[in-house]
Amino acid sequence: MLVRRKEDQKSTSDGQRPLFNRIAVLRTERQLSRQQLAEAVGVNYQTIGYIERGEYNPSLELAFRFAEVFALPIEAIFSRQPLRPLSEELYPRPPKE
Amino acid sequence: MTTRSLRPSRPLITIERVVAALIVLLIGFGLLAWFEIFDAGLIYVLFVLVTAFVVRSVEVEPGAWLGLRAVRRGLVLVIALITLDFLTIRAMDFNQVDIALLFLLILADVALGRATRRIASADEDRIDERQEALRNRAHRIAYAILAISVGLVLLIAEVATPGLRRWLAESLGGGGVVSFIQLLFFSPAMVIAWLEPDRIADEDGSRMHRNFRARIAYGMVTFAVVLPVLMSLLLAVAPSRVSAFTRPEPDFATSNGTAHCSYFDARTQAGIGFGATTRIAAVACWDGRSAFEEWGLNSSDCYPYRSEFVSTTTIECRRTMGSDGSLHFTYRTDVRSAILPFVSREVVMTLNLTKDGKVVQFP
Repeated sequence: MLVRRKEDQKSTSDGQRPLFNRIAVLRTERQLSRQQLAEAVGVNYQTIGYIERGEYNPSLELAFRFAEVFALPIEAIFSRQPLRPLSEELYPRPPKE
Repeated sequence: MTTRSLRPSRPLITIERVVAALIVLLIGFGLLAWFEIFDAGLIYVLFVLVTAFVVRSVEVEPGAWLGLRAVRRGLVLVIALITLDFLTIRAMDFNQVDIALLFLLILADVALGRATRRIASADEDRIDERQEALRNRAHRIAYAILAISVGLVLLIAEVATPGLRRWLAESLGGGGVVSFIQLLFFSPAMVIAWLEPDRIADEDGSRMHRNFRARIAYGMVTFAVVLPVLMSLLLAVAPSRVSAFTRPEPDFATSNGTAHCSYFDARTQAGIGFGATTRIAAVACWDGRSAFEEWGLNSSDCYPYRSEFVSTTTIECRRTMGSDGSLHFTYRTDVRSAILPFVSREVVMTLNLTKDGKVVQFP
């Protein structure tokens, strides 16, 4: 469940350049509901949904809170470039010959 | 809401609270000037204000329908159309339809508050960074809308012809006030409702915990809506309450001898709370040849003593002298509910006095 934005969506609802993130897949992996994650990082659960959909870019402070909750570095959760599936990162495809 | 308290707690006295207190005081004084103290109308208005405060203290979720941006935008358009319509209503033209529109506008504003979770006016420690950013953007846009609207009005007032200027003055004294209040207090919420994307489907079931305060709030809202309807219906079914007394007045000499006088005071209350009180307060005299009015039995004396949420129309206000010298006065009025216009009641008050001072009928 990676967030992959459509090519025609160049910005968030407030006009910012989108950030790609793995929150949805990490949340599912940790068996957290949006409400539980929202309570853990201190935001409204709708905000979690908007971040997952790429409609809102979190502040640096909030990004660090996600990193704390998931115990992962920020760059493992957020990226300016589209994120590859975790399985692909764990088991990279052999280069085509 | 679920925001972790990362911010320092707010001081008790803030600019927003002081402004809110001043607005409440202004409205309160306005209401006291408009209504007489301890009127049912005032009590009802106070109850509605308390209800509004209790409802505001309960956290809300917009639900499936109001979570959709298309529905929210429809709601904003409805509110905008009603607001524009009020601009065209002069104070003297306020009728039943406008009262119904006002109720519709209030309901739409309540729905708007629910649709936006009242982000526009929430304390900072109750919203998260996304909601705060959205609110800031909405306030900026709303300020621009308000500034343009006020600027347009000033421009029209500056370049207007006398006819247009008169229309403007009448409009600002009537429905324009409603439009201005709507723009002033609700335009940020309207902008938020317009901007916010479709809400995320709730995977945890209903977010609205029906706690005790929520139950109280919904009960109060139901009561506030149902009460005027019930009270209006009572206008038709509840018996009129009549109170009357007479008091002797000093005699005086006339060409026919000595005239004896009495003060007559009667009140008839139609409806309970939401109704009207009609009154006869007059001095009538008699001297053995005829009974006659001293004061208080003229057409200018036929007006409702008190009316709340009803309109009154005088059907008959007539004073006649019988061939036997008796005095007859009839005051007949139609009391019609302002909320349910098909509910009405006729109130009749009469004073029949013989030439010998015998009260045949009162009231």
